[in-house]
Amino acid sequence: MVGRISRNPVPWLLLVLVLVAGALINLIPFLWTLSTSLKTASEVFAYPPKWIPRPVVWHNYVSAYHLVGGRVFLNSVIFSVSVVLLQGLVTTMGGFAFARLKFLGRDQMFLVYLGTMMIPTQVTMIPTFIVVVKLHWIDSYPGLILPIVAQGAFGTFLFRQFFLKIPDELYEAARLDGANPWQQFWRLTLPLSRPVLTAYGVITFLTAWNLYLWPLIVVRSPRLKVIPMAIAELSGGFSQDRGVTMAAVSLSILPILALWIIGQRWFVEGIAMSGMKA
Amino acid sequence: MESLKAIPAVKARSWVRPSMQRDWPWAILFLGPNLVLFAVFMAYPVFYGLYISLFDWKIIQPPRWVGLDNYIHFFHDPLTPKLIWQSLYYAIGSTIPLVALALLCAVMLNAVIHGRYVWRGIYFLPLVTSPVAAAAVWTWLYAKDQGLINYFLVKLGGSRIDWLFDTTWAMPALIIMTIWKLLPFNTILYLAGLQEIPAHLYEAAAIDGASRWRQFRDITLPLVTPTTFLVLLITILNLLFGSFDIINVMTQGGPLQSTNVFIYNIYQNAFQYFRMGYASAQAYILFVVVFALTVVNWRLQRKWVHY
Repeated sequence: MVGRISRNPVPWLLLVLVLVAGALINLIPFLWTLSTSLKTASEVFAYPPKWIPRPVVWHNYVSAYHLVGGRVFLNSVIFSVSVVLLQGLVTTMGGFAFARLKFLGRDQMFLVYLGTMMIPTQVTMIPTFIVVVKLHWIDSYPGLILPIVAQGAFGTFLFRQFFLKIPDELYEAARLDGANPWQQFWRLTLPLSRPVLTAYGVITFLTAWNLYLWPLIVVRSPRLKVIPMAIAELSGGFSQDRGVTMAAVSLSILPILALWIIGQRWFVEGIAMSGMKA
Repeated sequence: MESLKAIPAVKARSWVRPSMQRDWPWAILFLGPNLVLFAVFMAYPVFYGLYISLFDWKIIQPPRWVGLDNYIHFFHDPLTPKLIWQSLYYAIGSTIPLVALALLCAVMLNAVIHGRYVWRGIYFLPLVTSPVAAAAVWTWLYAKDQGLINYFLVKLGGSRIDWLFDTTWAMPALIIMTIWKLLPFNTILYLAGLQEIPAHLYEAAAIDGASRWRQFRDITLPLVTPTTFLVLLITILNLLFGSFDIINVMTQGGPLQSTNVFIYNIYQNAFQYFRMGYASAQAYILFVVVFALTVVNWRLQRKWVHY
């Protein structure tokens, strides 16, 4: 269907109706979260449910921030940014090595990388946990961050494929100018890879920000908690003020939502790329 | 000629083109960190996990060798059939709508010209929220007395359901939420697949007088099968391995084990009951089964995927 709707208004109207219905279904949980987050505790339990809170309790957001704790937000930022930067560095360098360098066993090694991409990380979470225990990295930033950075097989694959497409002539010219591989990497390869770097960075940030299982396993004290853990705890609690809980949920979504509005295109590209993983 | 005979015989395999060796110092620089991290946190754990599965290991005690007992116990455990049934229930119950609806959405979104990015922006929103955040929201939506869902249900003439606490309805509740959450991802994949179909095929069909339904059935459906294959694969993997977050936040496998699936039980065994060895065995069995299914699906491609 390439955007050609016949002049007959009936199917067109149907399309619009279905599209709007679908959009509503997608939006309602978000709108409801927003609505609940601004209600007083008593209005939250009002029946029939009200959409527009009266009064509007902006203070819920302040309460939510204090309830979750600034430290938790900080941890999520530290975690996500570290993963993006470290994994980005490691995977681009690795991709460059597989694409442009010649060394013994290169292609065989790459096949092994590809092979492990097929193993879901949940299969190895138990032994990885034991490894982290043995390294005495439980409940520490390295233990939290590095095993996730290590899950860069897909990124390495992605960058290798992309780097292979950069014409040899450009590299020849650089080599004639006396550039060694390190300089080629920084001055030639990376600047030409901005689109794929952006998409990869955005999708990796999203994944790290929303990661739940691994932090749940590794983090044992409140000082290292990340946002998904805090939200899960709030959701499970019974005596919580639901309005504040929903405000906390909104706060947790906010950075991603902002990124989404700014750069939806990169997200979509990144998601389509990660679809290639399988 | 004699000098040639003096050269010791070398197996053909060990002779490598010199050009394949020249970059190895750079290779160590570029690939080193990647390789070390990969070896320590990905490659080694794969084998170590298998090793662990041969022991009975409650973390506080040293591991005790049991050989294949964990695997044998798996087949005799009364929970196992329940886990199998519920994992299948969840996987198939979610996958069919996730594939069919995604194609439908992609077709619709593809047809929209005006405000295309706004429509897509809205449709893809569930994707960017964390499963935990979405699960927290939907837990509230499913609340028996104040939840929105029951409110609409009652308005439509039904009676209230205590969704997440009812053994019959907990799993459907999870399935509905999963469909909401994962649909955008599949839609993106289908949209990409639809772009690959050449426009002139539709034009030719339209000229021949084919209705849009026939165009869909005879052009779109067959030509989108490669994407369908990809979507099926990704969805099943996502459901079987990635559903932990949702289950832990919404039902914790309950009520009465009615929403317990493999990936959740593995976590329970490892980190709540501290039966590391058994959990490891379960993880590997799950992986092998899924891998086998993937291979089977791959082979079956020939029958139904048109490239």
